[in-house]
Amino acid sequence: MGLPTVQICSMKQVAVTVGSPRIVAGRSVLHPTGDPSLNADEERSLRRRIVEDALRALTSTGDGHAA
Amino acid sequence: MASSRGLFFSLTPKSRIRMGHRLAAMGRSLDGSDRDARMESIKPVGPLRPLRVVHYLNQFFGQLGGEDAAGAPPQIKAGPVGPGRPLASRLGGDFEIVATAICGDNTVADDPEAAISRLLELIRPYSPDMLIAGPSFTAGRYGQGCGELCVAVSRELGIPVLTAMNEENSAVAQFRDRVLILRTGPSAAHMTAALDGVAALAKRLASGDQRLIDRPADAGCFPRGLKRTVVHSHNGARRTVDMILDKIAGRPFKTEVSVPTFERVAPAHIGGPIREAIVALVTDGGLIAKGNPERMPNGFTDRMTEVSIAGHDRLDGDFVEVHHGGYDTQIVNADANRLAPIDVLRDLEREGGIGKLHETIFSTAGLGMSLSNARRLGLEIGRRLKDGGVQAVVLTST
Repeated sequence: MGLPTVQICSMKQVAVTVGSPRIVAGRSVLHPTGDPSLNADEERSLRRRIVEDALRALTSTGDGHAA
Repeated sequence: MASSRGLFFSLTPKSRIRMGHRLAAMGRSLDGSDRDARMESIKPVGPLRPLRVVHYLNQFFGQLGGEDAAGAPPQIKAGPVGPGRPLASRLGGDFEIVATAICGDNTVADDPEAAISRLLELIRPYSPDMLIAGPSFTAGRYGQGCGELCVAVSRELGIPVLTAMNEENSAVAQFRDRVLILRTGPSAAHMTAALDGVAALAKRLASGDQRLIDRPADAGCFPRGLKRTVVHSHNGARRTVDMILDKIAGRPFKTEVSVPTFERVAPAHIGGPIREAIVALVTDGGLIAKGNPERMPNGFTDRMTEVSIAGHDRLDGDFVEVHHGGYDTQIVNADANRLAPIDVLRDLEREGGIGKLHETIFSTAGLGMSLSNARRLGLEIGRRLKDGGVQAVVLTST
């Protein structure tokens, strides 16, 4: 039995095709958990939101996608 | 054939001449007197001496002990050991298990090159005609040992090799393209059926059955994914157009190229609340220790690295950088938390949102990674995280 895993990525279709069980949208291919166009506080908040979405997804059964 | 002699005597002279010409064209005589000589020539000729087989077992089936003996060194004993005995009786008198090579699972998994090299040294003096490894069922390290030894023996001794394992064995994906692997049930409870299969396969292999190379799946083995060149009467352009016309007309057609299917893995479930979980961060975005001391490639690789974050509250350019040939890494090199969100995970750890953040990040550069390497690295990372007590994984992909 493996480890429950959540994938933060931008190329969602690739993840779906391969069968990744929990997929959370990253901000961009170039910066999955960040955004250089935001100021430091805004970026930290964005990162926090994405990570919290990912941790929430970890508690799911593994067949849903969070936006 | 007595009837052909009777037929001869009932023919008119003209028919006899015609029949004679037809039979002569087939290399046959008119009166059937050639029959006895032909029957003699198709009697099968047995081998001049029994085929010498070396059998490979791990420490458990080799009767050295259980997990406590997993560090056992490579060794060899004359004759069959353990399951080698019922295997020998199924193989019969045309085969002889002249020796059994045994090695501890950890010995071969920790340093396969050294273990296999030593096993080859021990095996050579027995001058085997064939190597049989396992069956290893779902035991991953044992399966790996079987696979590695089969590859090395095939290459160094040039003799046929075969092994047997269950489809859940991680070694199947690793070796099926290079080694003939018989499918078995999942555990030693299925040993009897597995040995029946191994003996039957060994006999076919010894007879040089070409179908084992062409269509291993028909012989109960894992498909090898080998390609053979065949000559077609029509070129590819013509065949493609025929296929399209069939498809449009709703007629059945057979594709020549199948799209790879990916194995469906049932998602693992987290055993308790996330606030108590030990969480690890893994990335395929090419995170490395600053200065790239391990010389990690920036793509097309079969390697991964473990970056320590012990004592760090966030990633910064003092100790990490990003090395990946598949995307512009400028933005994540300016702040690597944009790739691996360690700063936020540390906040959550402090606040009790997660139980603990694992002290290392497993990382590779995913650019152009082959499916088999991805599978192998994924299994390896999973195993090492599990051994480290990790309970959940956040994977970031670029």
